[in-house]
Amino acid sequence: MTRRKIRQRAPWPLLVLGSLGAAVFVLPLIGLATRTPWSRLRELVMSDVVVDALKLSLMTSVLAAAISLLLGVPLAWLLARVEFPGRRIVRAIVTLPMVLPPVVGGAALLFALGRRGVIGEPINDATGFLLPFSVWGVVVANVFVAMPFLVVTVEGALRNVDGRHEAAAATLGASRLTVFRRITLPMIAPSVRAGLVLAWARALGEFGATVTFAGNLQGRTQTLPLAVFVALEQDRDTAVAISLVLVAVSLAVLLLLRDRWWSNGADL
Amino acid sequence: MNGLDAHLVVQLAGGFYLDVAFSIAPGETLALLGPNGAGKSTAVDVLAGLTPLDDGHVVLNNRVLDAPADDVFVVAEQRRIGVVFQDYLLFDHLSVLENVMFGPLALGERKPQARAMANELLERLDMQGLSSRTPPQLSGGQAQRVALARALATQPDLLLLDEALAALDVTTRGTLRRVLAQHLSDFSGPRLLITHDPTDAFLLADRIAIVEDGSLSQVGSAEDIRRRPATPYVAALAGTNLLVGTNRAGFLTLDHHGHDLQTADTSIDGPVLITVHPTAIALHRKQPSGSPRNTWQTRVVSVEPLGDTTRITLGDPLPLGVDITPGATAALNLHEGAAVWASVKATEITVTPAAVNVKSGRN
Repeated sequence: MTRRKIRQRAPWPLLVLGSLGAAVFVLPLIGLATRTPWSRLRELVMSDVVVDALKLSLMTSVLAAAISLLLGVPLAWLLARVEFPGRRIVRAIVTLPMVLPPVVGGAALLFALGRRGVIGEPINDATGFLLPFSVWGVVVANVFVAMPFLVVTVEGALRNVDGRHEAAAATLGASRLTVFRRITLPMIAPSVRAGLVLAWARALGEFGATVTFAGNLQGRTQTLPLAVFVALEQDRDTAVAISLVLVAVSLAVLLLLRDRWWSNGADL
Repeated sequence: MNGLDAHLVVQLAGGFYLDVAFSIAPGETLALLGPNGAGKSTAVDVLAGLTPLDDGHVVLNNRVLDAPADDVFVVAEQRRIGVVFQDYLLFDHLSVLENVMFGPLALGERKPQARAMANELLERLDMQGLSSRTPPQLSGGQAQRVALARALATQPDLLLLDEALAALDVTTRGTLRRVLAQHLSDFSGPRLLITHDPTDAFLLADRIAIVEDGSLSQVGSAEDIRRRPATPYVAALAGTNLLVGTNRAGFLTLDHHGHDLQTADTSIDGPVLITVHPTAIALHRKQPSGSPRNTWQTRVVSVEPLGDTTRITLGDPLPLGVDITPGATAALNLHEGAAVWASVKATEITVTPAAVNVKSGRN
């Protein structure tokens, strides 16, 4: 026997306003689709500029997400679990890039890590290595804007973890690191995944900090969003094609991950 | 000295202090018995090293674990104290076997050895068939045994059981109490049982320490406590008379007393625990009519006024506590050494299956 479904009508104010809300996101996609030169799409997408930008975007955003994971989870743990003077200030600074215009962030990175920067200059003098206007510059800019999303998500989850399980693990002889690795991390895994997806998504779409700190060199620092911006000035069709690639990649990842990774238990 | 020597002083929420001192010898079970909110769970936390003491000391097998005066504090992971938590706190993302292996692995044991130890413990606890399950797939009783196995796997110096039976429903509690009694006696170190249930304390512990409002109101054997309750709370706790015997179709043969009783409950045959509530026993100056088996002649051992009731302790053949009103005490002219008849209805005598190795000689 199949269960009967009871259909309940949504109250009309919620229905109207909610639909308008959805339209905000759907309409631009329709706009994009209507302007797409479908017949030339394959040729446009396979062009050097687009392929270079796609490769670079995927590589740098994945790398930035991985670095955010490696550094962001321990940072979130420190913020959530260790009381130290100035913790509130550190937390505010860590989340600042979520509010700050990315261009400002890029400029700040340049002052710190650029050729004349506080840290950049001694490093450049000693090793000849220069971060800005390199692939690594793109990654650093991406980490700067993306990691706060992971830190905020994971820190929230850590605060909600019931410390009794960790206490139980301690009575069994587990060091704090073992407790973190074998008890805490598995307990907050859904939120870590959600934070990772958010950070990756933010890195993929990153524009301002990247263009300021890493520049816009095709094949080296020109990511998809930068390529779109350049193409809009010169060749509308290419811009539309790149945009479509971005939409497709993002949508595919979100659809794939949403069910498997962050539909339940995620704490956003 | 070997065993546990503890003097716990901790500030509790609400402005009062937990201030209790006790020691437990190896192989001895002490029950910390008290109402909820008396500071029992704080005692668990300070012993396990999850909360520091404000004053006092915790010394286990001559090893100082916490002594604020000397600025000594050993962290939880180095205390070697096995804890069975009230809600077990099993790790849901690990299998039963991995839960039990967790302690040995954390202490640096190699994987094959840890697995062997865990398997052996699970087998001893009759859980070998469940080792690949995860905790959410277990019943309350099974989860309790996994928690016990996990605590024992670290080969602790002290076993701490925090309300180990409280989360179980009444029907399984009796059986699990018996299982727990067996495994407690298998553990050779000191054992501390934290409970609010007098039955658990009376059946599982060698000695009982009663906590009220953060301090110990009485420490002693079950018999000491029942015979000489120090406060009305203890009297109420210890109020129920507990006897050990065998039931055969309602005829109760008592293990330690030369008098038999009759119960209306014929559903359980074999070794039983017999409880008789102190208010269910009637006292008479002359032999009453009624079932001769549940009527006997005895002497008053003590008369103690306890608030609005009087506790009468009877002597041989059945050393029972009886609560009657001060008016009745006066009317019957009850005093130490007075000869009285006692009677109890068969329906007022309740029986529960006895633990196989209930510590005998209590009554």
